[in-house]
Amino acid sequence: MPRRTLIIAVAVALGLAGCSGELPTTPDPRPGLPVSQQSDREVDRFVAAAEEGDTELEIVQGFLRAAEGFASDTDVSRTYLTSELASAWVPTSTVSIYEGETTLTRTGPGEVTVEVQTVGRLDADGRLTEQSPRTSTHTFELTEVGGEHRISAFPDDASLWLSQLAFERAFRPTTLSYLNTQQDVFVPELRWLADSEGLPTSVTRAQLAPLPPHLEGAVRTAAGEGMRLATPAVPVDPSSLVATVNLQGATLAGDGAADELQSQLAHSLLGLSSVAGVQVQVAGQPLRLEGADGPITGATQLPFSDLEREVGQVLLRVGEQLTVVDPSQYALRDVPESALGDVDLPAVGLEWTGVSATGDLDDLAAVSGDGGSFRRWRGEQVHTNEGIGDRLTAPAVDTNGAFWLGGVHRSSQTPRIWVVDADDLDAVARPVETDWLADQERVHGLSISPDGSRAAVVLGTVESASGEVSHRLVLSGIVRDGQGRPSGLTEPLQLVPHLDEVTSARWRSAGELLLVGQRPEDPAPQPFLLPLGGWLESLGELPGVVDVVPVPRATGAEAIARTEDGGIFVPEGQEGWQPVRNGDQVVVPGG
Amino acid sequence: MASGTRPDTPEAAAPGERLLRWWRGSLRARVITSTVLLGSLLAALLGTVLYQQVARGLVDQAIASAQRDASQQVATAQRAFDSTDRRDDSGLRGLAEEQIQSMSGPSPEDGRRVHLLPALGNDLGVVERMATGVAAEDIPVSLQEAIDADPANQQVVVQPVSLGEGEGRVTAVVVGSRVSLLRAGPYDLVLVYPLLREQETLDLVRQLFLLGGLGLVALAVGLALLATRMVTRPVEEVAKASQEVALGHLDERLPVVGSDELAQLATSFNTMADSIQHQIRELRSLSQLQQRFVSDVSHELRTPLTTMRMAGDVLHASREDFAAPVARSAELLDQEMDRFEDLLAELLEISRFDSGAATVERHEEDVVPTVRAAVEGVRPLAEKVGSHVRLHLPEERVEVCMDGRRISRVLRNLLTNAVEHGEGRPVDVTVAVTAQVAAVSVRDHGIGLTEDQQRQVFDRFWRADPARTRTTGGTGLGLAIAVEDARVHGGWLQVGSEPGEGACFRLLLPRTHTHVIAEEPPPVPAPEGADGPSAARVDAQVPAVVLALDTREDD
Repeated sequence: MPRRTLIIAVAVALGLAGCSGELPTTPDPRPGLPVSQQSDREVDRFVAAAEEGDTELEIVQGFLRAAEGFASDTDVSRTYLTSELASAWVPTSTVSIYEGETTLTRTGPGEVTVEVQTVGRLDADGRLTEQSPRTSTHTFELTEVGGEHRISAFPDDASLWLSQLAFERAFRPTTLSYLNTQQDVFVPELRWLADSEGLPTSVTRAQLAPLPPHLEGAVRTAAGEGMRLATPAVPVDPSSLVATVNLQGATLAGDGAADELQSQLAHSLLGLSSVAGVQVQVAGQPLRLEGADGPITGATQLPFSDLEREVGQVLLRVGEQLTVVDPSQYALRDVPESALGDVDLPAVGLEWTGVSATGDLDDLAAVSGDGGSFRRWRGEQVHTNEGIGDRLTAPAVDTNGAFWLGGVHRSSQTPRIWVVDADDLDAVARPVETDWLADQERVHGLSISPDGSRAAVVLGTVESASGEVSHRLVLSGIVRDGQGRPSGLTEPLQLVPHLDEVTSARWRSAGELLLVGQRPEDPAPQPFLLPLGGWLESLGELPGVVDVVPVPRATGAEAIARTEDGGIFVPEGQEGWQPVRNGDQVVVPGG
Repeated sequence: MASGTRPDTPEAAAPGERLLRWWRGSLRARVITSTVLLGSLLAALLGTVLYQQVARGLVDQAIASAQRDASQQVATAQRAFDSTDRRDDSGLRGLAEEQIQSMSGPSPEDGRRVHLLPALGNDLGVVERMATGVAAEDIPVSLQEAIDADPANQQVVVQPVSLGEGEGRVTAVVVGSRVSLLRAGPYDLVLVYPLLREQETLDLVRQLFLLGGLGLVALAVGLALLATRMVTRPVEEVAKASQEVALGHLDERLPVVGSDELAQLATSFNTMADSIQHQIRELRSLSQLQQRFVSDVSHELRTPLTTMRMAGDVLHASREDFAAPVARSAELLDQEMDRFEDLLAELLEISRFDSGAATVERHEEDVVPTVRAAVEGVRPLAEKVGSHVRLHLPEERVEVCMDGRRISRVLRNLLTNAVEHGEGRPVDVTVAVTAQVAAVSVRDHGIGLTEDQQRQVFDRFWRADPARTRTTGGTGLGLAIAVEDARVHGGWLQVGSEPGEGACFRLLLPRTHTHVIAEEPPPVPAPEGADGPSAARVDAQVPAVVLALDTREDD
């Protein structure tokens, strides 16, 4: 019966369909949600790619011009390279920075030499080393690929060549943040990193890297060994500008470590204009900073801060007299007696030079003119120590009020650096460990960073041939013991190697030094500002300058320069100096 | 159902037919099987629809969830790709690899799987295709084409994917999106979400549905059993009671419980039975009244008749002393007195039958002498009308358990009628016998009987022709009494006739008193000619009859 058959067939079909046990499938693609995150990369500079029929010279020339765009999305500079080289090329491994025009010469088949005035180099970690401009020659090797010339090998010394202008466009000075061992303040470290969308990634990567040798032991970093980015990228949400740092590979020891790590990363990343918030995750789990709900959006949320120091009064020494002057006044006027309070300044005999004072003006110290004695004043008390060593440098004072001295050990005639602790007036001078000081070297000047973590040391070396003394400036980290007392100075990092002479170096802030030095082209020493890791900046010619001291102010440190003839100068305009008073020394309390 | 056997083979058909017969014969079986079949069909239908709804709902939910997750994951990945600080091949490769690793679910058993592959047309080859736990062949080309055609939206398919070596394929939501990988160009980021949990849920649902369906069918069977029991039991009781009433047990009644349709049926049945019983009683009492009246009248007439008989006998004996006309009157009176006596006797006889007071004394007797004696009895009449009575008798004895007086009366009556209506033609008397039955046929070749006459011939006081001259002075009760006589023997008296061809009366008697002829025997064959041997030959055959054990109490 057809009807009965139909019913049975329907029932069987339904039964089979119903009991198949498989989830229904839809093999034809259908649109889902919109892909919200489209790549937002845009070409920002138009640089020419390699063109058909370019000569070898044109290829190298084009590559040098296009190299600036290495960080852009199109990255046309790779079109000048063979595919093997293009695949492996890491432009930021070493950057050579040149000045002026390039001179290209085809020195042979598949060989083009470039002559440039190199002024600096940038290593893979983004540390800039300035050098005195000198002509250098680089040879590029080329091969033919499909009838076209392509660069097949770079010169050994670099992977990217940029003019100084292009360098400053393509790289951005970025501050990494390490932690002070004594206070809850950051220790800055300047790096030059490629200015691209990947900048947050680069910053994070640099921040997670091990400490540079000259800071090992002197500062802390919460990024432990083995800690790395889960994905080698730090994405920034385009709407909220929150950078998400997803870490993995190491465990954090306690809540403190998590807070420190977040503080470091947040402080460094928030310094970028493209980041407004930082979210740190470990293995996908977001870390919480006490007091911060969600991503960290401001440095004020962090348990660490930038060091801020302000000095309201400086001392002006004229003969034996010390006068308190107001650095905020244009002409460094004396502070009236009425405003001084109970400040009681001793008279410093003319035989004592290199006066330094603690921040509260309670302790003063100086060395004798022959460099053989060290004297301290505390109120009415005076203590003289004659047994420290010879050729003592002007004492430097650190944040704890301890005085640092450089000099020569009397018996061994080897250079030494001592620390005289603040507590007791008659405290002994304790030598700190400085294995790296060579015997023939002499300490000519010392300055302790405002956070007490680093020391700028001016070293003099006697040239055996000429007998002349050449000076150089090194930066060394201060290693402290459990009680916070300095115990040694780390293997130093040489600063401004391109300067012929450095006579004075003083910390302007946690990341800047004021120098008096001389470049090869300079006829006489000049005042300079040196951002650590940055380009040396001239502060304007001042003939006869012997010392420049920084006066930390809320609006930024001001410089006060002193010339040989006792003129006290303050900056005027961009690169000018204005004489304001006369004196023998300007003493900045605490620095 | 033995669906695998051929229904046309007798071996296979036999049980099928038996089943069909049983099914057709049992209301309960029909109701239960119909309910079970319909219930199963309904349960399967409902289950299938619900099951598919559940499956679709699960998949839709999974798709929505997968789309949301994929949207987030792709945004994260794209941001990561945009945020990298490495442009060299190994840097990009490392980035892609680590990103895909971080996007994969925490365990390979569940969670998303990721496949990154160059978009169609991207042959830069900077980053090769890479995947976590997804086979390349599980990503359909149609998906890539769809992404290519509409890169602004995700593209979603649901299809089975393999979850690794040696494992089965699992339905999964596959969401493809376009991402851009710096100088490596456009890539398709495909996220695969295996629907393992959904499959487990669906399996559980199926098990529950199957259990529920079985339960439902069992419930349907139980309900059908209960319902049919509720309906068929009263119907069976009604059927049983009806049979009892049909058997004459008019007192049988049904119990009336409640007020439902079955109670109405029982009430109606009881009312009907009451009505029938009442009417039967009335008829019976009327009949008895009539019989008693006839009996009483007959008895009351006997006494004056005896007196009149005695006076008549005196007058008759003295008739020679009277004048001729008076003597003639005395003779007439005597004759009419005889007829009156006969009539009265027959009336009394028939009233005895009616009242059930007739007594039968049956003995084993040879029926042949009885026939001969009856024939001898009518011979004077036959000679008078010129008829010749021909006897066709078996040679052996025909022992029949009978009341000889009554059978003689029947035969006499039949023979008298045959001679009277035989028109002077021969009368054939035939005795036929089998082991159980004896048959005596009396056949004349006279004027015969019409159809109507044949139907009325055994009625009381009926005459074939009222105007006909009464040569024998019959009362009109003879054949009625003969029929009753045959009946009390468990036999039958029948007639067969054609007008103008004569008539044949056949008496059939069971030979033993333990049996009766239960059903009416075949009709008596009509005579074929005026005088033929064929009639005698037909009469010599005892027709096939249905014998039954005699259960009558009044015998």
